[in-house]
Amino acid sequence: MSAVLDDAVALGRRVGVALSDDELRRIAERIGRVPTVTELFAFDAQWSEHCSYKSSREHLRKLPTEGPDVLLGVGEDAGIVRLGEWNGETYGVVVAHESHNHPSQVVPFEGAATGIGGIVRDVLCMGAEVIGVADPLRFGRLDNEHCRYVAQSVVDGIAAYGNAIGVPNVGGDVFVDESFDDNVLVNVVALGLVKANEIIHSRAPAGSAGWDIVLVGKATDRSGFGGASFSSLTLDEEDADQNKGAVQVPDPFLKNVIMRATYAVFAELRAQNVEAGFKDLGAGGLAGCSAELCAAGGMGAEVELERVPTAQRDLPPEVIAIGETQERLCWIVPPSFTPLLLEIYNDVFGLPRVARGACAAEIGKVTESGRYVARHRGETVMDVDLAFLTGGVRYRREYTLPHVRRESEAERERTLADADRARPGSLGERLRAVLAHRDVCSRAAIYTRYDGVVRGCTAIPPGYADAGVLVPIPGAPLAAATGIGGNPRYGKIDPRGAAELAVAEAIGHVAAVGARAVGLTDCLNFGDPTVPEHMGAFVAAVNGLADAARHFDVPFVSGNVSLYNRSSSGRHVAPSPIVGAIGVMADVAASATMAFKRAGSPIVLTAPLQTAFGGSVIAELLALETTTLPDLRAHAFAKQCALVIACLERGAIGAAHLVTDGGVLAALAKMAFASEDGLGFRIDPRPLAEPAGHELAWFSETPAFAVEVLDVAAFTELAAQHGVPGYDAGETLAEPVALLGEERVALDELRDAWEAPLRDFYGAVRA
Amino acid sequence: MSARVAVLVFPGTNSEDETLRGLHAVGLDAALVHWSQPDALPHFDAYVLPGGFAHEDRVRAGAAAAHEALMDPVIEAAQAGKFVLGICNGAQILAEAGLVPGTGPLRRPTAAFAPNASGRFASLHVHIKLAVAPDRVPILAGIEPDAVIPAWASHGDGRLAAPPDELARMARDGHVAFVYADRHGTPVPAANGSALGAAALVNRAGTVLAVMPHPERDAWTFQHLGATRRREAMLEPSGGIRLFACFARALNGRAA
Amino acid sequence: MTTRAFAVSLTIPDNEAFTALETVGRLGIPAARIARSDIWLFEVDEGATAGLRDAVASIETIFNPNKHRLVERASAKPEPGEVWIAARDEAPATLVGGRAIPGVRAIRRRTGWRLYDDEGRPVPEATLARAVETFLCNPAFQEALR
Repeated sequence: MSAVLDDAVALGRRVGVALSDDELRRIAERIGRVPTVTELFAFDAQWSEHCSYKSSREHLRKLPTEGPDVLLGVGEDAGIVRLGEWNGETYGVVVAHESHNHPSQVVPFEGAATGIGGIVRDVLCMGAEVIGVADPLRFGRLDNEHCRYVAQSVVDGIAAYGNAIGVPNVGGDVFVDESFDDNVLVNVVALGLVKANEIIHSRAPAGSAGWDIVLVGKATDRSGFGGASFSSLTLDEEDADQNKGAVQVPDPFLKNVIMRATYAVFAELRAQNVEAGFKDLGAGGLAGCSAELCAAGGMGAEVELERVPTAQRDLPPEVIAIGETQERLCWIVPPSFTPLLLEIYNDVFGLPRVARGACAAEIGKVTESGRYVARHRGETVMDVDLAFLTGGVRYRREYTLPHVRRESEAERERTLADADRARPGSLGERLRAVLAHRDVCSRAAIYTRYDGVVRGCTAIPPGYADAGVLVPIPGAPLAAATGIGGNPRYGKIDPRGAAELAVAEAIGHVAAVGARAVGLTDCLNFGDPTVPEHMGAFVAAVNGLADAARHFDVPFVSGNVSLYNRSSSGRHVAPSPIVGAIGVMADVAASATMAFKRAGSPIVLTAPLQTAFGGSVIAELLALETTTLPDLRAHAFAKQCALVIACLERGAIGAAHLVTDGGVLAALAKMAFASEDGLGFRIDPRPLAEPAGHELAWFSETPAFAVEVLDVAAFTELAAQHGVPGYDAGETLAEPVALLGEERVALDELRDAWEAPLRDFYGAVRA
Repeated sequence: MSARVAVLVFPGTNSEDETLRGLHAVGLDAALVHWSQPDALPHFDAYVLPGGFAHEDRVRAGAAAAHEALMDPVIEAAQAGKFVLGICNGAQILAEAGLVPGTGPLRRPTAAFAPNASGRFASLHVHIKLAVAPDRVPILAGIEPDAVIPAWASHGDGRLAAPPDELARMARDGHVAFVYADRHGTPVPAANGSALGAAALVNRAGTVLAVMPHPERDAWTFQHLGATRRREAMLEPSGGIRLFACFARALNGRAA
Repeated sequence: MTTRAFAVSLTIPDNEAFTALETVGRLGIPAARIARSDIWLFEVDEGATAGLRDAVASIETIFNPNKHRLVERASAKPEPGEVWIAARDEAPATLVGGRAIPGVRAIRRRTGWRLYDDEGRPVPEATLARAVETFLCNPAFQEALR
């Protein structure tokens, strides 16, 4: 037997899989022989970090995943939360969240485009109409030519794909940090709409033995071969040249047609009351997808690889089985339905005309054996136990939790006073600098590349409020909002605190437009898990996500882990837990943009401002060394969210904006910039900070809302009901100025400072 | 019998559903006609080509679609004087098919909606203003002089481009039906660099209209983002629906 | 001053070429394969041509080795059997990818198309002309260069 184990290791090394020697031995031992090359690549993909979550699963178990609004929790390709009832039917919002980091570093356009392609398929395969996408992005320093090229191409790729398939961009964010110089983070979120009783699952249905496995989409070729394991290794300049063949080629035209054909298939399945299993192909290719489909249903599979439509002749079986050609999906249907399925894709929608060799083809059968068997030209190239293949391995990685230095109150006050003295400035001067900061400045040059209103269901597109709002059921007032949270400046200091604040930020963003968060998604982007410090950052972040989600009583319904985001030069990305929140509203009438609506409205803050500046924009600008992040105070924040939602419903407030990067003054400036009639604002000079006032509190990134009050009596009543004291901050003005105590600053000046930094996003790199 | 409107779906079209909703909202009997069903087309009274990325705009926006079998009945219908409305990608297809300005041979375009001056796609809220007398555009019956219609300009190839003498001819002969304007109706330079500030072209007879921005995306109150976003009427059609209302009036006027 | 031409083509499947082939096929134009290139023309000072190729290859917005092939052309004209499509009112650029290349006065872009018959030979001139006239070039704002 030991000869078999050694041979397995030798073979694995020879064909270049990323499986460790130990993993290779384990496989050989279990199957009792040297694995075939095809089997090796299948295990390589299924046991990769990306597919198996081998380093992370034990920790992810801590995340709360249940709740009254969860229609389908974690475990399938996407989660589903309840949107509401309409015409006697219960509707759900489908949500999936993934990363496509490593491919986007090598070929940024294709990497980002196929990221959107993949996440859209995750939603589609639940039986849903795809209704929106969001893109949280983390770029390297934009004054570097290479980082600028990567950033531009990532945005181009997302735009090219999302716009062509006709799915609106409803949100996202952009952060810039040097830790992303060699490791861009491209996270993508997709949303779908489905009736609760029409959900299609990513598993072979009960009793499906003998059913057909039908592959749909692009002809399989060499592109993308090795993607899953490739993304689980570190990125090196020299290796980039050898990654030819790992490029995944997007085809949004084909995807557009596949989506429409698939909607026609959904209609037929529902009309005929036929059950089916449906899953998209991603990492691990055909074998990975069909294996998971059958394993999830407790079934087995027999696949004939030469029935797979290929773009090139004589592709070796491992490429056919494991390659990651894009734009492919896999159905499990009863044989009586197969002819109609093929007709819809191949004849009515004419896939072969849309892309060379694209089609739907029956490639195998579901069995009861619990084994995955694949044959190629008469030879068996795979025969493994499905549970073993998809069960993966688990690792207990060693970790050291991050140590966050505690500062005393006195110490913080002292460093604050020193920084203030060392770099003096008026509120107006500081506000201008804050608005021009890379994490605050206008991102219009980026999000206007995305179509935010295609499909005609957008109530609030990106740029007009904290969260995008969709009215996905024509004729119904039900609305869904998508908010994103996560900040690398916080992640670098305190991953746990950053994770908590990311959850709060996402929930706060949807509250600011009037929506109640009912589900969360997460993508955990971290460095090398074999390095205890970085595994520790991951664990701390998961702990933070779990605690915050529990405090807010909002479950996680979908998520993804991306590890090994480091280059071989040793730079790991800033710990980046990125969170999405899905909020729902019974009536879109309550939603509001963040623009000031009227002159003479009181501006009120929903929490006192903390003198905690860790990770804040102002701290960076003043070279203020502090490690104290703002304190979340989850219960108080939850009440503030509820208050804002109630006030918008009542019409007591006209606008709300969550205080985030740049603090309250930046928030007020943005509310003024957005106003249709050029409104301005005045603040009372007395700062609303605790314990003792300090002018810099106006830039504190305390979790709180700035709201424009339209009806003082109603607001006061609701605030009392919700137990939220309001803090008067100032009022809106008819004139386009910011009156900051004695100082008067023209809004145009501030707006120019805010718009200038990224105005040339596609232009010259500034020296 | 009320007029029947076909909304064409090419491979890559993506705005068909909301365009259909806009037509239904003004009482029109409209239906989607898929590219696999060109034989169904001749039975309609009017044609709408919605927005999207037919053939992903490969080679040139609207170019491959102009040669689709689905276009043959539309060309015939346009020549017979039936109304044809193209929005965004639909407008590009009409230009590539030579149906607007309609002063040259079929499928030999004399004007184009070329790549934006910036070279990139942009999605921006705009207003378009009627730049000809209302009777120049019988396809929009009842439209007021200088009408201002809100819409979304979401395209990468919306810049009217043509040789200088052709542009002069189009301006002189009233082929530029709408121009970009602010919400008060004051013409503004087109962000995409469109010649003559052109947002829409119309043929000689005023029966084929190609509009680059999307009025159907600001045609319900919930889609409005300024003072017209009235809470009490969020699900009512308003704003950009005006274009469809005039189209319906024109069609019903003919059917009567 | 002299003009140097570089052709960048994809080493991954070219979807645009696929649609071009499919469309000319529908128009009854006999072609078995279509190849597309991005043509970059650099007007450069005589003394500055030496480092031009390396400079061009280092600009990622032009050339990404993971998906592109870069070929310096012998002349700044289309090859036999090739047509270049140019925008009539093109304003030549001086920067590309945010970088100015020393000695380069103007940068112009073209799209190069080549059609092949089923024996792999360039199609006859008349066939190419028909493809250009009916599909590859929009005379309203483009011109075809041979």
